Amino acid sequence: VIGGAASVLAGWAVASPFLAALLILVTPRRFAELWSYVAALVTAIATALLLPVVRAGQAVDLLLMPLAPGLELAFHIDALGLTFGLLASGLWLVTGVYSSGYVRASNLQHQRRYFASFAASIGAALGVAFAGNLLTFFVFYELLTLTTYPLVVHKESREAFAAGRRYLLFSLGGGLALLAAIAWTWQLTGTLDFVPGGFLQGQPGGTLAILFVLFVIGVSVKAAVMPLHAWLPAAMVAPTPVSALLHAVAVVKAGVFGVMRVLGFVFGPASLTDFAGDEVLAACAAVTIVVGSLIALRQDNLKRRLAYSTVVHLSYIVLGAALVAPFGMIGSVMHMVNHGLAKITLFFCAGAIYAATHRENISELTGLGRQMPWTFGAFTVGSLALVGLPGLSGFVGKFFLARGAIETHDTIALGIMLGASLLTASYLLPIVRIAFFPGPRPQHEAGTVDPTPHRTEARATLVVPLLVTAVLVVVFGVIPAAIGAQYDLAADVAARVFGGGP
Amino acid sequence: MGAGLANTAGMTGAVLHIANDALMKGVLFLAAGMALLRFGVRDVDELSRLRGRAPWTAAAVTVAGLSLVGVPPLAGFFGKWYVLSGTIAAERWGLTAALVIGSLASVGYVFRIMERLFFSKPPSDKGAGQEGSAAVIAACVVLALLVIVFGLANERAVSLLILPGLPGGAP
Repeated sequence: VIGGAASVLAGWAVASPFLAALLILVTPRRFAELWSYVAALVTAIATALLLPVVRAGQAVDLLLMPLAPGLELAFHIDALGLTFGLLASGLWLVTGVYSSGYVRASNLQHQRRYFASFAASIGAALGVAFAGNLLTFFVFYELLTLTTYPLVVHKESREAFAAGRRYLLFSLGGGLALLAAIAWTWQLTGTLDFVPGGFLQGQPGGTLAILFVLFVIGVSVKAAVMPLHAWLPAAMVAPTPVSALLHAVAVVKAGVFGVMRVLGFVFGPASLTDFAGDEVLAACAAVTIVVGSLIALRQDNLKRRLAYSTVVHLSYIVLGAALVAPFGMIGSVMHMVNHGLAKITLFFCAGAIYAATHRENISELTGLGRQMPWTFGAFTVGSLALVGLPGLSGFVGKFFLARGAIETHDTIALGIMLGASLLTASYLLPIVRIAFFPGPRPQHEAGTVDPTPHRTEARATLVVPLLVTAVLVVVFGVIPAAIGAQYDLAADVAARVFGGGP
Repeated sequence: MGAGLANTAGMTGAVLHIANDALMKGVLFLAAGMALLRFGVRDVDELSRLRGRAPWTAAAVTVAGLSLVGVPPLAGFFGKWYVLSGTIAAERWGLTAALVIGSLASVGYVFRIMERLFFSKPPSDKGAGQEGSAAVIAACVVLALLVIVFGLANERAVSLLILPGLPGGAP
């Protein structure tokens, strides 16, 4: 694929989800899934076709329109943007199948609104991924907040509205901090284009420190770094496919992606050393990892436990980027993908369990493993991957994150990463244990749990997607070509940000 | 505030905001009048009566409301962007903070309207009523479209109309 054609592909990758959202809203309900599938296919294929171009070291540029004199809505797709783009568009294909199974299994209301918002959210996530400058990033980052709002309040219950308000307050409040930071950057430098290695060098240290705080508040809301994380567990009130793709992958990864863009492509390693901003961010991430893990341990609601696990693993990625070292960055980029694969599997399982049994608390899952072997098998794979078992995808990213900590002689970060892996094991593996090994005398209180349940797997449209993502977890843990492709993109990012590469 | 900053960005923002505010408030007041006359709605809380029954007005109100909040690339965003840039260029940090906090407040009231209009259960006695006359709907929709067009055409508006009129602002 040559340059001009690649730009057209990039345009279609972002445009087709938005187009699908529009078509879903104006055509009858029965076409909603058709439009979603078509758009997901177009987006996934277009994004995949960009891979050889970017791997060859070429970035893809596309000018959409001028926004204001000197400011453009423009795409610039590099290795980092493509990694996020592939993650979002690839998993949208799988989630599309899962979604249509889920809306039937749970008799979801307002399905056109649901599918349209879902498609538009993916379009916004891809816009974030492909953005070539801060203003374009901001435009799609705000769009992502707005398009996911209808999904958070989907149930239209009091709880959903409360979650929706909290979501908007956090996200749009963070967005305003981001906007102020961007306007200030524009006044200081006259440019907003992302530059590998940053473009704020030479600005006074005090200004940089305040700017850094504003930027970090802006992107940390979606990355759910404490104390800006509180919207995420509340947003679990949304339908499970939303929790799976948006609140474990697309939205939250837009946040960590933003952290990487701000650290590597706005500030850069050179200007970060002028003040202690990266260390403050690393400290916040470290605290989030520890506190988030401890809170996760105490959650009985399965989706909430997974949500806190997401909070923890996002901060792993933020911590890796905040180490400001090549291997830390490589680990962050890889864990962004690999956590996404594993966590979407776990959420798919939670949704399948709910669809088949209407249970959403961990204490009610006793013995279900035998009845739903595929679902709990996939759950086991996803859990072990997040713990960091070698041979599964989660290990690879964690390995490089640890290497980044060793590289910077940051023993505290290393200790926290390794310790948090143990904590991950202690809040995820007990779920596997009670499902498969309820013990000789299953402990359930009379009346709460059916003592001799006879249940089967959820419908195929729910089980097949979770098996596909579980297989992907294995593929990105053992197949050298897959790991290599992922590593090459991550190494390209690190080489450009830290120099010493092309 | 933008004009009082007496710099190019602030003045540009002030001029943009005059045009944009007229459009956004035009939509919102037309819609409010329609809601009052046709549905007897006086409070924001009663807006749920309109749910699903006034699609064109609701769409126009959404566009105007989002523009008011400052969602890019709608017209309202650019006024905010330039005034914000102006406060930063003038190093009037108190004004920057006031602008940011004010925007957050507008998020609050705009989304309270959205919540009622699209997501809340209509009351059981939602009463009679139908969307206003074709002329009112057309006016709302045209103004909302202008909010979108002014946003998309902002670059031309600023470089052709506003900057040449400002001292030292000509390209």
